[in-house]
Amino acid sequence: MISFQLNGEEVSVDVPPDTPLLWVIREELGLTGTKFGCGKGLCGACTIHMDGQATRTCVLPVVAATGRQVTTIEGLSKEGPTKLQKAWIEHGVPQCGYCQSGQIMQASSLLNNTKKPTDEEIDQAMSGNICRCGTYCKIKAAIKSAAEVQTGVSS
Amino acid sequence: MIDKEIARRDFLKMAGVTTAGLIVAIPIPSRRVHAKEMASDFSHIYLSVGEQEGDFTFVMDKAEMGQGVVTGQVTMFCEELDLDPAKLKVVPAPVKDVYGTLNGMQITGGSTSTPDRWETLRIAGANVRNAFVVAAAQKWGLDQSVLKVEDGFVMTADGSKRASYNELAKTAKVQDVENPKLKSADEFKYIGKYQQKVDAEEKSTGQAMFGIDTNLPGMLNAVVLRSPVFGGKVKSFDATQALKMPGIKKVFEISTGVAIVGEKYWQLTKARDAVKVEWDLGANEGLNSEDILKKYSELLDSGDGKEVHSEGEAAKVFEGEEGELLTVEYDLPYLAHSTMEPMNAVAHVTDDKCEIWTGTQGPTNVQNEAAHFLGLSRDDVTVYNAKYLGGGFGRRSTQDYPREAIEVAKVMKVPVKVTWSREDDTQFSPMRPISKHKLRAKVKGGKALAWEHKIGCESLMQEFLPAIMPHMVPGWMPKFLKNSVAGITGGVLDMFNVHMTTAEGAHHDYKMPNQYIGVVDQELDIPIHFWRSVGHSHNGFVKESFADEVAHAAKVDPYAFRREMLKDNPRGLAVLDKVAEMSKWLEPAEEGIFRGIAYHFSFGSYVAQVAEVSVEDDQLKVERVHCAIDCGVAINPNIVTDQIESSIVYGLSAALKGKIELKNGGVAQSNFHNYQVLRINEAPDIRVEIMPSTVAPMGVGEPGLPPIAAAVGNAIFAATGKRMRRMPFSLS
Repeated sequence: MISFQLNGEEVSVDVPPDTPLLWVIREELGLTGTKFGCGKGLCGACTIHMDGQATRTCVLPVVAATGRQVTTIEGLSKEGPTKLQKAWIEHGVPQCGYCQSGQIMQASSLLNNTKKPTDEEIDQAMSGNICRCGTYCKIKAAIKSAAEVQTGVSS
Repeated sequence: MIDKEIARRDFLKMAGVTTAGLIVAIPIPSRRVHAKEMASDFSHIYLSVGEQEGDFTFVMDKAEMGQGVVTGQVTMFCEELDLDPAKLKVVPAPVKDVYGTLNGMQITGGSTSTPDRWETLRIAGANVRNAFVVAAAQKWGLDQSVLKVEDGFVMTADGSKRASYNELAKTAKVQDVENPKLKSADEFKYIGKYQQKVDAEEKSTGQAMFGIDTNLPGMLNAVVLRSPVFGGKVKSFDATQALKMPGIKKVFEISTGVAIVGEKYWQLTKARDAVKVEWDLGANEGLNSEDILKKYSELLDSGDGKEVHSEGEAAKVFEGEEGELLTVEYDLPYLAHSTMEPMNAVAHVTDDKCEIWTGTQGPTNVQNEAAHFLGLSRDDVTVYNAKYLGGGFGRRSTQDYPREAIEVAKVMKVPVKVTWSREDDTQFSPMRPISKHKLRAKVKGGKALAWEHKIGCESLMQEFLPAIMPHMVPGWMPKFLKNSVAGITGGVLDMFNVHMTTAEGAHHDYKMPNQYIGVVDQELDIPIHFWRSVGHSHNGFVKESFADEVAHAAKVDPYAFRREMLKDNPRGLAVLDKVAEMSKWLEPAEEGIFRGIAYHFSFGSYVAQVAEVSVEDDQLKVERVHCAIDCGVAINPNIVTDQIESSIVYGLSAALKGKIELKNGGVAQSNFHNYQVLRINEAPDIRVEIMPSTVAPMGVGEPGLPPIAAAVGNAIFAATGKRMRRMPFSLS
């Protein structure tokens, strides 16, 4: 049995230790907000937080999560959408929406580490997350306005 | 006589709606065929108005794949209904003739959803609103003229009496008035103003459900091993090792390869490596992209091809002595759609029924495919379309992936989900066809005297036709027969003209006195399909790049050159002038910035773009793109801007990175490391201007794509003097 915290609750799974965390979350634990995009850590659709840091789960063996805090899009906030998610909704970022859980988890990790990221810092943090609908302009805008709300500075 | 009310309730139940309130069937005639003939009792969208305040459910037949169709459709409907679009709960329609159709098919594509419904949805909204007003007038014993409506309520002008639509639903009777009075543009409350997306919250909180999220009790999973060469067949396979692995249930042959069925997807990813397959590689073994291009080159040199369009006497001008001759060639590769959600479908097949859960642009075609393969009637096949499709771009209007699920489920007798890996998706999906273009122009006195564009490309329609008419044109029919049937059908419905999609956009709306557009085809057994903006995706690039070449040969500014050819086309000219103004085209470019301009008309919309690029040590960066679009009324300006940004990013991926190479009969690329797409750090700053308009809305999901590669290619020429005639672009 492998145990870890998922969205604040202790979970245990009986799977081979090399099973990718993505498939444990989706198939064993039934949370489908985290998406399968490439299976090779190339697109970022499967991004979650492990101990608060953005992590790709399609290539991460579940055993690596043992005893750690895993947060998925469903567990990002217990009290409705976060400021970042609100900015996402307000800007209407999602098009097809499939990559957006991964984008939001990545952006949320960025804002945890960098309160007011520059364009370059956004590019650097977000360039591992592909969006085929090309929502990149709006992702940038939403991250910036969330950062402003977060730091109390309005433009 | 069927009891319509009961039938309606059944239809709604299929969509998961149970309500005791008012049910309204909104007739949806097709714009393509004359509305009146097509509008029958069995072509509807359904609205259910529950008894609880704010309980409105809209059963929607269009597939939401990122193009914003759900928000767009409810905005048009709610404008006349007078209800905040966010209050309408939208559920996907099951596939039945009773739901909205397009020429008998439930399909989403071709940037048609908004123009097709512009009138019908508003008329329907007005009729439903009027029913509530009449019901309120009766209830209160007042004249309708003293009542007003506001966001789901009918009230007296002084506000002393007020009732919700839900309350009034009990007595409201909808009259199908043919021409109710519709709002004028200055009365719009939501159209042109509504900036939210009704699905943004679900998609920002991980709640949105896609086909891949389908999970049914007792469901198994499957993956399929397919031939490394297109068209190859299984000779033999050995699954001994795989069958010993945990969770693996069965390994067997299906039409596309070897299916491995097991409990969990991750178990299958291991087992697939343990199954050894020997393939009979078939006729495509040894076929490369270069061979196809070479063959097209020969075919284009040996004849004029099938004429698609001609004006004046192009041949005569080319034979004559007058003018300077310009002759060039363009090559475009195969391209994958690479939707973010890999292909997947769940099927459950019993002796006399089949149920399918998948995300599809063409659910009717999926239903046909299942019925045809299983020998069932269409009524015995139920298709549940996913609420959301993780990208479409044309890819999800094929039947290949549901077909695999149907085949596997038929053997397993329990629900089975077939999931394609990214590698499967890249290597075995139908592609944007490879094409070769040969062009000539005669230039004199700052003008083109003649223009010739010959296209070497397979017809997409002859591929699509069997899918949409499986009983009329079965899949086994040889290609030449499909072609002739498609040709005959083309006379009846012009959308089926076999070469229309191949040549679309090549015959342009520029004023050009002598022109010839022709197409040559070759018989290839490589899967191809519509790719965002279809024929416009290659012809927009080729036409606009060549226009730039001709302008330079004629020693005329590329903007002025196009301006002259658009002088009888006011809407085209207006977007061109607008983009010139946005980009300050007439002023010198900023230091280190080089600009390219392009214009293209597609899907009813006029688009002009200016790309600004920088080139440093052979490193190209697209810094900024200006875009002006005239799409008629912009229902949701925010979504129009989105779709332009989206099309530009999608088109830039193709121009700068995208290449699927056919090597030895199979696709050489496999995942995002070697089929690269644009990332956020490479995305340009995009500035969009939507031309104010009061004319009927046209397509926006695709028209932003065709000009972008040309705008960038033309900017690269301005920077380096090197002409980009092959995709992806290479500066070295």
